Amino acid sequence: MSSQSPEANRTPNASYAYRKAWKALNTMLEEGRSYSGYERNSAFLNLGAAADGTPRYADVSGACGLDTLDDGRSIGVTDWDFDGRLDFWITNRTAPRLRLQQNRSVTKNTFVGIRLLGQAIGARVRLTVNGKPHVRTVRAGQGFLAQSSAWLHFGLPQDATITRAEVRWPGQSEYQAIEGLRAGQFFTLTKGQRNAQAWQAPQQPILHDAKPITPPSQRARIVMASPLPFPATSYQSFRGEARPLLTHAQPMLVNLWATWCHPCLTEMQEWNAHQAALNDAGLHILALSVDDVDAPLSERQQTVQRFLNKHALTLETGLATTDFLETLEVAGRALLDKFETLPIPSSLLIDTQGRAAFLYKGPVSSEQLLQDVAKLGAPDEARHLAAAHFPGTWMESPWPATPTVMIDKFMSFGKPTAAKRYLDTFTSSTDQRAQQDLSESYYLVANELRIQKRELEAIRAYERAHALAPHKHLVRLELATLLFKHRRYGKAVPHLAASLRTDLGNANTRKMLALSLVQTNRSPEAVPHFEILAQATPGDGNAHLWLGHSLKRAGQPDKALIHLRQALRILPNAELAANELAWILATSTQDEIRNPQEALIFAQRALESAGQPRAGILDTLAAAQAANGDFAAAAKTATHALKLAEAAGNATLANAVQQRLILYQQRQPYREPSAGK
Amino acid sequence: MRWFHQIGLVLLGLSLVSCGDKVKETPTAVSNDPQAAAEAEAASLGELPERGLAAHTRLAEEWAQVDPSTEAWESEAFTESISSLLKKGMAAWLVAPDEEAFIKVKKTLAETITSTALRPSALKAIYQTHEIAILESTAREMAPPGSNGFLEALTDLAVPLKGASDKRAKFKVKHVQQQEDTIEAHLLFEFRGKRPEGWHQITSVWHTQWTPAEPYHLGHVEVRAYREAVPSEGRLEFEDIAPRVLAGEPAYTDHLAYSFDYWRSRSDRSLVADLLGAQGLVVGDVNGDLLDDVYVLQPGGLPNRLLLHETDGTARDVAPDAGVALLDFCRSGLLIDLDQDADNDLVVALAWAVVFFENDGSGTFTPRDKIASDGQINSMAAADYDADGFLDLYVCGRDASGALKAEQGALGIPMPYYDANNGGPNMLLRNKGNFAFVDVTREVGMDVNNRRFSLACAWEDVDNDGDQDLYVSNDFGRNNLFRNDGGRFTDIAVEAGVVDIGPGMSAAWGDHNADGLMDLYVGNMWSNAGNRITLQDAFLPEASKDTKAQARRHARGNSVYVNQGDGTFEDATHVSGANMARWAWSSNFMDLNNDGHEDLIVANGMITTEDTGDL
Repeated sequence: MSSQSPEANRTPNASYAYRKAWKALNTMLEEGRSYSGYERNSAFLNLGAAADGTPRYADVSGACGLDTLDDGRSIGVTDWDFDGRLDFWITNRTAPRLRLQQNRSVTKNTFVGIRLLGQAIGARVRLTVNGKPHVRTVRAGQGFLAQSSAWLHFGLPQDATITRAEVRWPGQSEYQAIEGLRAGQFFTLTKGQRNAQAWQAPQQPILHDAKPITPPSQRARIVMASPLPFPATSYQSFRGEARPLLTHAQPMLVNLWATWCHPCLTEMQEWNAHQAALNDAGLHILALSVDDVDAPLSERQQTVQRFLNKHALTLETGLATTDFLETLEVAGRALLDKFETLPIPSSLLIDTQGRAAFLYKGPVSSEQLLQDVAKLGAPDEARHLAAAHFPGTWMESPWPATPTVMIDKFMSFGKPTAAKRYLDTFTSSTDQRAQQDLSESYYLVANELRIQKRELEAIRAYERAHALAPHKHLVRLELATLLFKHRRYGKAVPHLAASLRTDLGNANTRKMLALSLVQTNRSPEAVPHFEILAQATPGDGNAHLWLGHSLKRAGQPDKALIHLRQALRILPNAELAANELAWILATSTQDEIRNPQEALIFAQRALESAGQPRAGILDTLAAAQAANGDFAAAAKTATHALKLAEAAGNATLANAVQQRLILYQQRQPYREPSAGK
Repeated sequence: MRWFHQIGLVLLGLSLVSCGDKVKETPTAVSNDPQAAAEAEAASLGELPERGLAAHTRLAEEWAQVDPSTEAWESEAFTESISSLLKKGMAAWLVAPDEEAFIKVKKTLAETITSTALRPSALKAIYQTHEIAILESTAREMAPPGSNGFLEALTDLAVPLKGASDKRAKFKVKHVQQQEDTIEAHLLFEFRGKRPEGWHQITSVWHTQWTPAEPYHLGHVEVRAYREAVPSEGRLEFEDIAPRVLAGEPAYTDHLAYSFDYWRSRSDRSLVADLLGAQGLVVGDVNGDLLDDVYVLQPGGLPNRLLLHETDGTARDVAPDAGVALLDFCRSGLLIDLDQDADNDLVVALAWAVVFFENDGSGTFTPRDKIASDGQINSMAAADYDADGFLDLYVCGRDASGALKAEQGALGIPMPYYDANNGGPNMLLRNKGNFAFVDVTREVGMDVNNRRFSLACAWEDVDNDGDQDLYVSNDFGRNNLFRNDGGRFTDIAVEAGVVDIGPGMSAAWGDHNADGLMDLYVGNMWSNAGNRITLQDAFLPEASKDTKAQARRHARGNSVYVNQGDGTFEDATHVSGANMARWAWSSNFMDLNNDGHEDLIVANGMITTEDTGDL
């Protein structure tokens, strides 16, 4: 059977290495590595086409000062200062995110600027300058993520004469003449009019000096827009006991500090001074020392205790453990879009549902803490606004809290069990996006479990993923594939059937489905699938074999014979084909099908292919011998088959052989209407 | 899933410190000097120095797959090594000829080095206008032999930028070939700086030979394609005046002056979840004064900014009052008149929806309609494709939505890399008037080849028949050119010769050769690494020649297509001189010097971080 099953662990394995490479790349980027960075922006000067019209450009990036190293993104061209030279706005990934590149080129060339009034997107203006066409179109959207000015700008050599000026408005195929354009000026033109109107650009006074930009700071108060539960972890008490970090009894501030860190001391003293108010607000502060985590407990305990005593600090303190710091690292990377090593001190404000609600990089005052504790129960809308860095409006809400990334981060530590534990306690909102992401997370966990060869656990995770997002076919397919591999054919069938419906061309899914149907005694239903498979790959002996097998059970022995014979032609040693063939030829009630002599040949061939006597084949041989009238031999063979069946504990077969043996002893052949044993 | 392109694994980086000498005083006074204040503040916080706790082994394996310094890519290890030598040696010395750099230069050289002149004599202007001269030389005279001779040649090379400010020199390794007893490498050399008369730029290609094993020594240099672009009587010059136009404007000083990564490091992941930092901008007039205003798109948690152009040339953010300070994750927008009332309305692309705002004429906006997209939206472009007077909208949806992927069993990553068609769908939204839009993608025939990873689109009348045709640039695959025949579209990219298989990043129409026909400039990636790697045997060893060629094409750079006027385009990329535009994003036409010829500007660079080991 195994040699005939489709490649059981099929899945999207073919693409696995490729997906892995993507993931590795993303990892590096998330780790803050440069990737094709430090690339200067480019400018190419048009030197005028060659005589045959081939464009000729020269790289002048460094010759005009445009070769900034920014990660440039989007460009919007405009003559911002109306000095007749084109400037442009550009967005960057790097700082500053926006530049206005002012054109200060010194040239004797001039220009004409034209603004078409009214709906002019798609309109064209064509100037004939020194006998050559200069065409510009009004566009909305060009380049990447950008729209440039609706002003049309024509550069003009100083000695140029405009011999003709024309416009073609949107939806028209004819050009109309424009009158009145002059070099060195701006004009507007209204649809239907012939004369361009001179337009006076505002006088541009000298700009103010730039204001200094405060260099970026490490400190931050980060409001979580969609707070996620903090994963279960523990810290160490001074006695060395491992204690769970979260008690859920009240809002909790987990603080990271060290004896060598002066701002930590200042911060703790300030909290100490306001302990009553903080207590009243219900805030539980736990200050975890990160002093020399690898040192022996007694040493750590001593260092910290001495420090606390010296400064008369009465805050609840404990020792950060490696597990805690790892968990913090996992969580930090999931909570923040870009995780940077936390400064000391840092603190995390956790609400009574165990969710990380605020993260403070650097010290936080008790006053700020009191304000933030008061905001813990705020409605989503208020929190979404508070999480934004500046005032504004949400058109939609931020993405709801989903565990996907947390899970992903756990995975990279090879901790699928911790991931699944996190998921199992995760109560997702009813938001559909959240449900889908939760499903996605189970899917990731399942994949990881499977990679670790913990396939039964993987099945359970896939089942969760499927239950949360029943329409996800990839999940269904992976689940079905594993079920099939683990011979849970009955469970696999509905998933395989659904997968197949979305991907009818997938031969592998079809094979698994058809074989699962055979395995669950639903062979007739498998017939159409095997037919498609046999038709698609006529040289596939197994397809014919299983088609024949199923046809026989579907009560179509004549058709079954055709495919079984075909299977044998392709796979001469397929004992199953020979056996089934022999059985039909020996036992069919239809005279035109029955062929005892051939049955004998095929039964013997099955026996040879098997290499050793088997009950099922001997049973067939006996039937063939009986069909040929050799009842003595039939009885002997059947007796042998009976012994083997009993030895193998196959009571059903033994029983059937016993019945047939009685027939042979009475010198009667065995016949069966159409379906098989 | 959601809109993040990147879900990464993790490397433990948090680590601890045991020394006790980190105690610093918190600054007691607020300094007026922000730099000093920040330094003081940074010093006041304790810091956890790097000491990896436990890098997970599987992660290490995965790194090994792409880390260029592993054995699989021999040329990459060599490249890393000599790039570092050249950066710290020759490039550093050209910028600042100090002792340290000089020693490194000498260390780079083989005693017996031979070289052509690094700056050939007899430079001739191949192009000269009032603004700029471009000088070249075909001379190949030899420099004196030996390392001293080479140092003389290097000194000559530095001459044109003597006394210049803002100097920068860079070598990029383009091509590496291992020979029997030497390694050949082609280096792209760039050197620029600003002198009182303007910016100077030197570029050349060095065909070099190195000793075959570490430490690598430079044994031979042959300089080719030497070129100087220098100011003529006038000059070409640009300067960023945003800090002055936006002086004192908090939208700039408190927000846009800081990097995408700065904001990411202090944002809940649910707000951003993106690494690319691809946010666009819209230049258009919102209040009818005919002055261009600018709408700047921002990721989640940061408001989009509407920079209103004041008559004194400055700009200030009016987004909150205008009702368009959206906090959602946005990529692009358009300012266009959607209802024919002579003011520009606003279209904003959120990650998964297009929102339409009506302008009341004064620059105040009200949301009117929202249309969901199954593709994560990137660029948009408007045109009246059916000539009914109302502007319609084409929307590029790059990545497929979670729902779509779930439905179709598609993976999120492009498959196959070279020709992916499992992205999100694009939409053509027909404007029915009164801010009602309907998706007509299918009925106009645009629902073919429509699952590409589309990043950009641009309308133009390609065939001069009066209606608007559309070009779409797709990442990881083939581009589309939709010809408009009375409101029905046919993808003619193949026949027209503009399929441009590659990582299409941007699309722009303009006239390369001033013949009045609209030509194309397509943004792609030009990657040194790509060029090096794809030439190696180890790259896709199983793949067919065609696949390899397609992969290599992915690194060839921007494409230049010239409209032949007969429905076809000629690919002039390699003869144009405009292809090597780096990892290009927005690439656009713009006349830099008003000579009437459209020049090209390209925004580029993928991800720059403080980490120096660029991949």
